Amino acid sequence: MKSKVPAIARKEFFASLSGTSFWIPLAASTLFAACIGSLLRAISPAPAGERASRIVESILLASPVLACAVSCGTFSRKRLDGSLESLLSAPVRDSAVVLGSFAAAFAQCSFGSAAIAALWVVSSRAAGFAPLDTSELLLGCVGLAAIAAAQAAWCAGGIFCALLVRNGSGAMALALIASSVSAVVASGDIPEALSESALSRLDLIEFSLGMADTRPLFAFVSATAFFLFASVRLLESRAWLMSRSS
Amino acid sequence: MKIVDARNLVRRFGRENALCGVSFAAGAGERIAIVGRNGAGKTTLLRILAGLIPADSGAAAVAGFDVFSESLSVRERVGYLPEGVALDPDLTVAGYLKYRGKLRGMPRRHLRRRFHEVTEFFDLARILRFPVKALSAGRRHAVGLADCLLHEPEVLLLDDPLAGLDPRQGARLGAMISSPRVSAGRAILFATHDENLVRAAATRVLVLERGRLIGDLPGLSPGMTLPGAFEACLRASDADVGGKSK
Repeated sequence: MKSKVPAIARKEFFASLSGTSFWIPLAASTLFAACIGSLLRAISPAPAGERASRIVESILLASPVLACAVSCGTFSRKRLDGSLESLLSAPVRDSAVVLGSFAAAFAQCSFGSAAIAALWVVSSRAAGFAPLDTSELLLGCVGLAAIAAAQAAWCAGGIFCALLVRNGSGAMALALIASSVSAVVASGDIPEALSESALSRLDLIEFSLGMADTRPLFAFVSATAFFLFASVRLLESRAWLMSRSS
Repeated sequence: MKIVDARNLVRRFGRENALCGVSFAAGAGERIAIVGRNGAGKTTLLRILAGLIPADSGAAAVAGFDVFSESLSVRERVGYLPEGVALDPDLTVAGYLKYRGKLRGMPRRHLRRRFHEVTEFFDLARILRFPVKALSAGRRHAVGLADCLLHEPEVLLLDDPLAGLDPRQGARLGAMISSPRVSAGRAILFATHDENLVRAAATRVLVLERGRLIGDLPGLSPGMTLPGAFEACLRASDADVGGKSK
């Protein structure tokens, strides 16, 4: 049987972009990142060469909020309004539903992060700062790639929480707490490990030899796999469905 | 020929018995109303037959496929309308129907043909570009039924299809269900509390009480009301249980 993952992911992605379930969380997380970012800048102004890592940091701050709102919020709503039951009445595997929803949430988060980065660059230019040079932009891209793994884990965690907790707000709160804790841990690791040490010199030979600390990446990839597996098992158990049965 | 064959289905939720040994069979062209009080097991029975949840014991086959071990094949041959007609709110009517067709793996040409047929039959042509969330309850039910019939299923399972509809919309839906274009060649099972729908559309009535099948009637006779039929079945069942215990 042909995989239904791409069809589900495509539908989830475009349906969210056309509704408010993506743009409101994006606006909220951008605002959140801007507030916290301003606070950080006030405490320790960034030297010219470290602005790219500040972009990464601001996205890292916004990501947990965005990932939780998009993945957990969308999945909770589907579960509570019954459209998840409708979806599963079609001949689709439970794993396809989880993977499709995860892929869509991850794509939305990546899109949102790119939007936040663009906003950051534009606003810094509008404020009269010198344009970022190529190495800074490259660093920013490397940092973005690094936190993609963390975003994946948060999206998977959001879906897991939406299936675990019956109440939509409770699920969102749980997902947000878990991802915020891991973001605090990660914010110390990822930008430092990838932006400031080996990769700050763009020495890809050293990076390929394992000079960069890739442990956070492995941790987030493992967490993603664990949460996706656990979400599939929870969905298969149909425990989430019993709250709606008559 | 039996299209639906349920044998001794048992399902428990914790300590509560949702179904206790329900057995019945349905053939092509039969329109079966499943009636009973809230919590009688109507939704659970329909969900089991739709391949959404497993039974704890017993066996069930739909269109010749085992609902537990060949759930995906069953779902390909079943049109299931959950309680409350949960549709994806972010999609347009056309987008939703096409998405559902893709999920069912319908070839493009077949999907296009069936799309035109069901939208014409349910008079949806004028609202194809409307978002689902903007539809009235009656229109949403029509879209839900169109979705159920899109892939020409052998069995239709409708869980409280009149919920949220006014009497006029209910009468229209009853006429749709009993029309030859919908009912010919397929078995239709619908859970309902509505006497008018039972009278208008059912060729047979199954009466459930606390998970037990206490009556299997050949429709409602002209002088009989639904509560009256239910009480008669309940008395007969109590007498039967009393007789056996003696």
